[in-house]
Amino acid sequence: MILAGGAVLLVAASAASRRFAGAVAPYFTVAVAAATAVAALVLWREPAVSWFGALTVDPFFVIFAVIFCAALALVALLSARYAPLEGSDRPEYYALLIMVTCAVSFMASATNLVLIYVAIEFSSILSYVLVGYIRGDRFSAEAGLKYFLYGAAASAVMLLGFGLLYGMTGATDLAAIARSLPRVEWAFGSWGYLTFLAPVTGAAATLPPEFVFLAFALILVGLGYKISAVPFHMWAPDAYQGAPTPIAAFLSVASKASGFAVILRLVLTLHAPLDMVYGGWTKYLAALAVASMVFGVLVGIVQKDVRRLLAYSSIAHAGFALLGVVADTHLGFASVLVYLALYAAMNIGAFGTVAVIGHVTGGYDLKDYAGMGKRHPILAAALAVFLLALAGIPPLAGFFAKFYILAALIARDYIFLAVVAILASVVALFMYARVLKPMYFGKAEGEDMRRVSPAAAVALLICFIFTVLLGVWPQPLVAWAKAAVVPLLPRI
Amino acid sequence: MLLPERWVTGIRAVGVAFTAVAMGFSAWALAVFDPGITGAMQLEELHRWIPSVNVFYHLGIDGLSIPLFILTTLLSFLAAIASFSIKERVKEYYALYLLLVAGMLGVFVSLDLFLFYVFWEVMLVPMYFLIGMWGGERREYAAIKFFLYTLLGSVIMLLGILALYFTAQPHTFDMLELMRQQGTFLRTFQIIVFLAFFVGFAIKVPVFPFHTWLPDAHVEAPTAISVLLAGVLLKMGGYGLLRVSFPILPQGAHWFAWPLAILGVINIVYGSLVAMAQKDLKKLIAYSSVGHMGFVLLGAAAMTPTGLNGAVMQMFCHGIITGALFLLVGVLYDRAHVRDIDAFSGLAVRVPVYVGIMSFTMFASLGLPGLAGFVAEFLSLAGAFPVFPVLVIISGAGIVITAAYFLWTIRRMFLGKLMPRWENLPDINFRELVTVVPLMILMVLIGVYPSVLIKLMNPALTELSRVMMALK
Repeated sequence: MILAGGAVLLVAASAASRRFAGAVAPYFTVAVAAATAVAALVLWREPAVSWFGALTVDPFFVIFAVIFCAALALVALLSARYAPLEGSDRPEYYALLIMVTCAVSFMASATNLVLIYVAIEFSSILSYVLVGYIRGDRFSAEAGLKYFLYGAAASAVMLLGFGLLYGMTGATDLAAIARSLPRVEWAFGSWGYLTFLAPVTGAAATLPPEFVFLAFALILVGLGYKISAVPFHMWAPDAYQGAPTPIAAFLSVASKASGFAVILRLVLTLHAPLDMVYGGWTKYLAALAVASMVFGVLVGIVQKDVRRLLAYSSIAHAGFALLGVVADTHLGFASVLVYLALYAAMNIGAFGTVAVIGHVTGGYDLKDYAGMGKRHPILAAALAVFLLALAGIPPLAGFFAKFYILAALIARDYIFLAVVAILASVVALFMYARVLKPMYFGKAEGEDMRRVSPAAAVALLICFIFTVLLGVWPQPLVAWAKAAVVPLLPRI
Repeated sequence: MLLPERWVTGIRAVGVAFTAVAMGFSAWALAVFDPGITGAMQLEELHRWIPSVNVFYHLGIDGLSIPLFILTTLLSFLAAIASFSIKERVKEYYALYLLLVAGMLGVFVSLDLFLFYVFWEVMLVPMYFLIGMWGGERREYAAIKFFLYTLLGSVIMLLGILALYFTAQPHTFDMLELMRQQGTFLRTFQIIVFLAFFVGFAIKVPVFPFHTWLPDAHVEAPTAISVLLAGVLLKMGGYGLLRVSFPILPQGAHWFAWPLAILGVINIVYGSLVAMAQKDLKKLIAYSSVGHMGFVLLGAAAMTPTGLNGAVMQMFCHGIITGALFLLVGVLYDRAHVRDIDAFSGLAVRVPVYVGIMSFTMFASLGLPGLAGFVAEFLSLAGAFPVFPVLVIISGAGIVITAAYFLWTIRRMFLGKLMPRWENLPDINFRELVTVVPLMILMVLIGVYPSVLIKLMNPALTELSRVMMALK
């Protein structure tokens, strides 16, 4: 299982740190990512295996592993010649990247509170280092420190939540915790003629509700920080702005997806009793989601730095994806997986293009983008496509992602949430148009400092192909996500 | 169907060639189209697309869509020729232009709501760039306003589409299947979903309170794009009403018939009054469009066979007439670089051919008998009279105002004393004549012998009217 994935990762990490020639490291990283992804895909057909009840390899994990590996490979390619990283130690950078990927993969597969916590800490600590990796750059160092302080506080709070849960149930294994919560019946609900699996009735509460509530509220703080949902998002704009931009791409995709992986695991194993017996949890998640979407797009509109704008956009996207969890049906959970996979392609593409443009022109401000459509027509067109995809314009990837989440919401009659979500998307379009406007309607000025690196061009091309292809033909992804979620649902 | 257009290398000839191919295709479709067949689509194409959510790639044509399909290919061909006046970034221009045309054609032929929505949205992006990059002075504002307005309308429509999908059993986006199931939808459900769709369509039409994007977009867009905006995009709203809202949600449509007719009359009267007050020639024509689209709403709301024929006819005729008007304004603007009505006078002396054509088109637009606009408006009003007699009489006022402002404009611009600054204004050239003359021929043809068009659409629309009336 993770043997295949994790071991290769670790070996590679140690090998890479033993001073590979700096130039080879990124391509070696890509090879590791590809090997791990292939290994994970081979495991897809195998039945779910559990290691000491702590790690589980199932189709659910495989989807996340593939997303992480893709992100790793793309980010390695983007970093290959990235100018701000010149002068920093290169092989270690890639070793750290591989290890972060390993850590987030553990998060997606862990089914034990202790291991979940360790994996989260592992990934966070490595991320702090990567964010502050630009040697001698004040902003990078500040971003790393800020990220660290927020992260330390959030994980301490989360640990308290885990502790409470352990104290009440006496177990750290998720399945065991689920057993000590009251059983809840799942049944086919319906809307119009649509049927879906949803929790319907539950037994009486056995644990003190206020403590259960507190425990999960605390855990949600830590995970909300990971996925950068409002109000735990404050680190994101600074970190994305200060970090090497490829790292921002990685954090905004892999780190966020790993947070969702843990949320979905918890929700899939524990959520039903929480919602039925201990009060409506979905409404708190819904509040987080709405706050993230609305705040993300509204604040994103006034940003002047493209990286910060994308940071707020990623906060809004976290909110949108959370709505799939709120829907609380197999359709909703599958829609989150689809959303994260599609979001990975377009968001790495967007951040990657910003990194390349920054590498070439040295500018990250909106005003530096003036006339980019004339200066670099291909880069500008790529960024335009990624941004329009993020805005949800069909037939690009973002449209289907949003469409599927909306479908899951409407199936549960959450019309209000659906309306908020689409209004936020309209405002989001305005936010992205603020980047398009100078690129295409502005006058070109300034000189290029460097050329586009071929490795980064390949990475962008891959993102582009997936953004378009999966938008036009999402069928395999949807089938995949459904197959991953259904086995985790309680049996009826 | 028209996908390879994206790789167009950008020479004008290629742009024109592709639209010519599309026009050839529509001519072929017209040749093989049999208007006698009702209740079934022709030239159908059906492929599985996303089976796990039951989405199909389903295209087809019937008597309702074929006039609009022909209109789109014709106008996009002529506008591609008119776009020769674009001098900057020609390659990008034609690439976006062809993407726009592909989106518009897709809307008129898709029979799957998911696909319909994709085409509907695909159009927005090229339109945004076309207005924003090649438009007039306030182009950025106009472009983003257009984009946000229409996006807002269409995402609300998307909610309606999803609601329909989940209510249908089995879940489907297929329009024909949904039409068959319409009897099973509850009345309140139909009303709510009808309203969701209506917002999307009303913004496109545009219906009175949702029209404010139109004057900005039309005025700032380059000539060829104004032609497509007025000639084709506005028709998508009316088409959507007749294709989606009416047959799938008939009870919702009946509930909304009165408000729809009233909005139509407001469009007619208000649009004409505002048009009268305009100083900018292009803005005047933009508001006249608001007025003319009111006839579409009025005819459609009546749901009589005559009214529906009038509505579709009005869409077609407004397309050719207003398309021609925008082309002609573009001709003048290319030479004079101003569009203020008061900046001109006595042009008839200097550019007689241009003035002749322009006056002819304006007469067609104000509904002079013998030209296309008259037939369409007459049919709409005649069809609506038995149902909404009072409203029809009120909308008569709109016709008078329309006649007044067009005649007044002709007098101010073309008659009187020639201003010295226009002494050397060149007359319309051959290329520009090529773009306008076919439209003039159609105006006369339909004005004198409307059956050419009515024969095509009447069976399908009579059938639609029968279905609607049966449920009243």
